Amino acid sequence: MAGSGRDERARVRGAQGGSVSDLEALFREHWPRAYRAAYLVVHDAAAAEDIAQESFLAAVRALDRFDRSRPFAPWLHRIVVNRAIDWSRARALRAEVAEGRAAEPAASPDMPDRARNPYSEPVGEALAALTPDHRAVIVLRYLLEYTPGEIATLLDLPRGTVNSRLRRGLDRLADVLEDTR
Amino acid sequence: MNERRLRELFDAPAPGEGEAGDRAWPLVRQAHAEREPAPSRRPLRRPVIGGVALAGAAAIAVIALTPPGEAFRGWVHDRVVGEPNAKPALARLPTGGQLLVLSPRGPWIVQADGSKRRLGSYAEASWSPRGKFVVVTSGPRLVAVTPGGTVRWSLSRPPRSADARWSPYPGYRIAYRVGDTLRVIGGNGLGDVLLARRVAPVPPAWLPRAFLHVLAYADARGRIHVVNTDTRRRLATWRLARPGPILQVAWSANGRLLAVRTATEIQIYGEIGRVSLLFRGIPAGAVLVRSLRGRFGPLEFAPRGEDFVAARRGRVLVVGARSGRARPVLTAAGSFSQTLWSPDGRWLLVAWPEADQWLFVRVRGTHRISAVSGIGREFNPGGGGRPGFPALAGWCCAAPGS
Repeated sequence: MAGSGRDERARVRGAQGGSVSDLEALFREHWPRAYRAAYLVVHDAAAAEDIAQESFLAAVRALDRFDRSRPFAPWLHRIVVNRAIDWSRARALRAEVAEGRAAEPAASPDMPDRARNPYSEPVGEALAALTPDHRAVIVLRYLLEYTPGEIATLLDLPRGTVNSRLRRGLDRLADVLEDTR
Repeated sequence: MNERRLRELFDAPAPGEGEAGDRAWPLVRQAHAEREPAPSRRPLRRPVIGGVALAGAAAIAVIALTPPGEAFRGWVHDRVVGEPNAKPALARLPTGGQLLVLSPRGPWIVQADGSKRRLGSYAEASWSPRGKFVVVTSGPRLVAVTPGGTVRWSLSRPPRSADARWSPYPGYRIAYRVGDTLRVIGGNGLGDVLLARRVAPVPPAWLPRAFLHVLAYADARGRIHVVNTDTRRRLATWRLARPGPILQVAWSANGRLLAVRTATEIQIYGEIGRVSLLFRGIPAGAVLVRSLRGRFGPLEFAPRGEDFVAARRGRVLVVGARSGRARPVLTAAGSFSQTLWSPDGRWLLVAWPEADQWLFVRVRGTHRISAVSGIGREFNPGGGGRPGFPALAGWCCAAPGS
């Protein structure tokens, strides 16, 4: 897991003490995965930016109470993924997916060449076709590399539910990928 | 095989990742600089309050120390519960002026000393420029009442009058909508006239600090018009740089910028009516000077200058309209619905429906946050059931009637 170990504890201690350079090191190290996790759950660049940014702000404001003996990343990822799931559910309630906003990445200025971007390749598209709950467990398992037990703790879910969502999510991915061949 | 392909996918940067990080870092650094370290003796009692920022619902989660669980003990819950140190009732406003509040039972005036009066069973309300009157609507009726509740005049425009706004320039004019038409009523022989048809269901906005009655409004085709309501001369007309359903039109306090809020962004226009004309008779347009992507709540420009405040979910931002530079002044779990500037520009009032609270945030001088809870009940005294959370209609005028 990125960001673990003695160096990270030193950076957290430095940031708690007011060091901007330590804070920046933590930010630069953890931003990519935080943003990527949010993006892969919500599939909306603007929302992913909001979620990752607000999660960092929440973490910074709570920094002084953070237990330095614990790793920083799970703390941050829990905030990110739960917010991303909440956002996705809220969007589903507003029926925005039906309006085609789920395809927003295609309009992103950061994707000038869709064909060369892995997020627009079949596996990325297949992931986008899953429900937010299934996407979340797959992102936690394969991007952030948590064990099913850790994911269960993260999401306040029974471990069996996590395993079942992982299995169904992977099966669904396989089906979608099969259909795209 | 899918697992391998997933891992490969996750190794690639997501769209916008780097640019978003560049935008986020200054805000994170600012929040870090402005945070207030928790007291060492009672680290678990206070909410996470960081100088200008407040996380209203942070508490340390205690996780069972199973082998996987132990690694997560430091997580923070960020559930919405509101500011725990909130006052149970609105005792007074932190600075002068009068608040206009719209509850399900009708509009209320809240005085600086916290006393309040319901104006009647009206659906909408907005201030006259110096707080001497409130213009309210109810069904077809358009009514001017004093803050004491005395009706000065009324007219009826079936089927329904809405979105009445009073011009800041002397010699009263009130613009309002009836269905998809925009009308203006005024003195000096103007009477009640039809100004435009097929307008968008959005309140019009009078140009502040003008020496004429100049009104901006959106039409149903997504265009913005700026019109002298007395001469009917069209000063500017333009289409949005990026079309979208228009939710709000607002002038900056100095009248140099016009903000247009859509569902997905805020577009800021300048040089309004000053773009050179190629042909006589064709109204000038405007120049897009800035756009801010995101789903913002209602924005309000500060009483002076070109800053505006708006909430974007759980964050309240003060934004330089010309520069686009956003300064977070408040952050919490959940989402804020509305924000208002105090008349002196020193405080913000932030509505937090999920917590049933108002937060007064001092943004000039020493940062302070003062919260009041039970807002729904405050404006539905004696009412049964769950009270609706009231809307903020305006914070007016340190010296009412001046």
